[in-house]
Amino acid sequence: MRVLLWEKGAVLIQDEGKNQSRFQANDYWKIIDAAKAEGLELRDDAMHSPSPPTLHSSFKLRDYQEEALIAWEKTGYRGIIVLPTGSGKTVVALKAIEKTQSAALIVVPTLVLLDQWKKTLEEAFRVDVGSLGGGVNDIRALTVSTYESAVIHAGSIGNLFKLIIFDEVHHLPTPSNSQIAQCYLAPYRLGLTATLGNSPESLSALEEMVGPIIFRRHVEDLVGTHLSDYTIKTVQVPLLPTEKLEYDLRYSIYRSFLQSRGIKIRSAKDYLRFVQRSGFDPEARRALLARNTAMDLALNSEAKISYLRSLLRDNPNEKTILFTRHNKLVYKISRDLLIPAITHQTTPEERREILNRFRSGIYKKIITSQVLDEGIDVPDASMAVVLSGTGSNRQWIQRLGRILRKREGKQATLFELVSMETAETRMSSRRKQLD
Amino acid sequence: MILPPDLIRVKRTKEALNPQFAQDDKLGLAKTLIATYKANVDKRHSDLLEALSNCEDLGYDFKLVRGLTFILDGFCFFSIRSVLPPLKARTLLFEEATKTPVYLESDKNAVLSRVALILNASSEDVDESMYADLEDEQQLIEFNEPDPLQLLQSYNFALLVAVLSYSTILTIQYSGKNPEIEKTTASLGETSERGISTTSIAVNLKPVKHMTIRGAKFEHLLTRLIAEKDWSLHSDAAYPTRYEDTRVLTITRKNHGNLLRAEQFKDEDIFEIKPRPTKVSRYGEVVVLEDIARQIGITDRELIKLIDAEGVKYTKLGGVLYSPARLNDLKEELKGVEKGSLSEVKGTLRKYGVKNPIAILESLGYVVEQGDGKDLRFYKLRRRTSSI
Repeated sequence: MRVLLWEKGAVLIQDEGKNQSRFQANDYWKIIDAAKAEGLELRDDAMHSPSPPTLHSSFKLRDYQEEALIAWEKTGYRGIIVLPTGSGKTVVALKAIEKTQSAALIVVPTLVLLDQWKKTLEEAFRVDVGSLGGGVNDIRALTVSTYESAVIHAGSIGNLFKLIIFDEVHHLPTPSNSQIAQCYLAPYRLGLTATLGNSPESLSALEEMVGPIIFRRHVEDLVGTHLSDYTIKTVQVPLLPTEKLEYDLRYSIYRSFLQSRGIKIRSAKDYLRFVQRSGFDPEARRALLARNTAMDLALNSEAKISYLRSLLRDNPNEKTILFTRHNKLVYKISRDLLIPAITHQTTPEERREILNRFRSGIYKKIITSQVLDEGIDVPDASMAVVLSGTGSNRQWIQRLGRILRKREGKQATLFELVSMETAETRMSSRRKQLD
Repeated sequence: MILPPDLIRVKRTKEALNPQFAQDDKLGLAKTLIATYKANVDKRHSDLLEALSNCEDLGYDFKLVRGLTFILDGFCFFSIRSVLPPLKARTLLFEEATKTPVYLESDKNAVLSRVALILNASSEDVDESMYADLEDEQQLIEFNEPDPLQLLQSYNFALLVAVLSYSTILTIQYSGKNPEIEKTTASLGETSERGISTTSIAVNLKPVKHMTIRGAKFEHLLTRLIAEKDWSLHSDAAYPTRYEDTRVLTITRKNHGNLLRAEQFKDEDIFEIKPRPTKVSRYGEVVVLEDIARQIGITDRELIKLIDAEGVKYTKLGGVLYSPARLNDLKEELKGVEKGSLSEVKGTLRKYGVKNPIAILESLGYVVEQGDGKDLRFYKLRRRTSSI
């Protein structure tokens, strides 16, 4: 009889003559399936998954959540579910755990999410939940881990879980994180995200590591029924005359350089090559710095702040989240308009306090850069103002998702402020292109 | 110290890899940068950064400028300076602003006045304190000005350590024997050693996941090697990483000795540890987290975990871990200066590894305030009697 063995992130098939063939742990499920199909006798000494107590939660699934779960079941408990922020991905995951009644590892990108997941699982199933990350190493049948810790401990715990759930699964296809997919046996896999991106390489890697995209709903699919109705208002704000002069001057330095060298920037890769060039070519560096200054003016213009003042005055009672790209603008606005700010420099205690006060309505407005884009449970708001951002569609969808939680009679509005006649207009178009 | 990878400067030819060491012709730049730091003592971090960014337009390679400032940052102490506790000030401001929303500057001024009244301070103090704890707002309170030549040598050392971290094969030679060098080379990979009056060690370097740990080992090795009477090293280094093949890097005492300067040996560092009956960490009774973590190439948090694993009781104050005995010693010494200027106690605090005197003093229940005079470096110390 052949025997399956586990060895630090790999699975071995040992035949009767003790010869061993080595495979990636990710191939475990294929080996089991193939052995079943061929009718081969195979003793599984690789998987040492503990049995959790019976897991049952009182959550009721919405129709689309039910559909997503059925789709996952049909593909042999493997696959990726794409649902907008605020539409209840976590509930689907809880029901997936309940469905398999297996030891499960939930992998999350941040420590904040780790805490949130642990709390949710403990409240839902009334069991102790382990955690791995932030200096804690407590492994239980249900364990929440950061991506980083899951990589580090793959060799020692990779054979303990039958189910692995990747929250914000778009974080998985990096050289480091993909080791989790490769080094854990878990035959059942579920990926969750609001936006997957559209890089063919990433999508193909995710399919190999987690499974196919089995269910997808866009914001538009759920608006009105499960998500709030919303309006997006893009406002073209002219730069102040002095800002415009400076912008044109700086941007022309950048453009002239590209023209003089015959460089075309058509994609992110082209831009990256230009940035790399600036490391050894002083002219390229001058052009890069000029472009950065120009973009800084466009993204953080005084004119936008003036517009914001009037916007807030016109909507004094809306619970509003302001988003920027740079911390500098966060703190400028926080100082000028006395609005609580959350950035990476905000301590967890202060952040919690600000979000609690925002939730309870003491604070009507908060301002943040990119830290609230994902990974933090942000209270519902009815208005968002994107003062600046990247060209990423994922960021755009995540920011929009912050105002879409359904409430009776709610009409959410997202204002996008874009500096007129600047390169920011292209960035604005790019981020609104769907996957 | 090791330069970050993005600041490495090398010339790669068909056969050789030559680090672009800073020679005497860069003394002018070194002096300018040192003067920039000096001019920004008692100013905000963001002011310093802006001044340094202007130095990048002086015509030198920006990587050289940033590399030198990376070294100079090690000579700086930054601290929060505010009349009021920043968190308290901004929380009150936000609370007051919910009562009368702020759209115009006059609205803000009205809120500032109300909060100033509550805190018994001026509006300016409230405004300045609001975000005084941000990295950019912290002030450069002390700059231990290095000699310009010493700066260039320290830079060259950090550059060489960074490049050596990409070695695949390393051969070193030096006069006599040095067990520390042997121990470090053995930790880098498989070694073969020969020689009696002159030691020659060849190392086949193990592939590593964490370059910072390897960098720390190279720093340790190079520190000891360049202290020897005669030495040389040859490395096959795969740098830049986009090339798979290696180039030879040759460094000798004769050609490069006067270009390099190392930090103090780790085991000769600042702490004098008296034998005590209680259990102490192998890192000492006063552990400056940032320094020790950097020396052994791990993060502060990882270092705390290592010390926790030793089962030793410590108190953490402002980035320094103190054994109970040493903490008592520190408190005793401070008792003698209940009230006075910060400079009076700086020497005492430095003995205890303190880089950020204000944070430590505040942790120990003192209040640190700006003095009455124009001299921003004058502080009063008094026991904390109430919190604002």
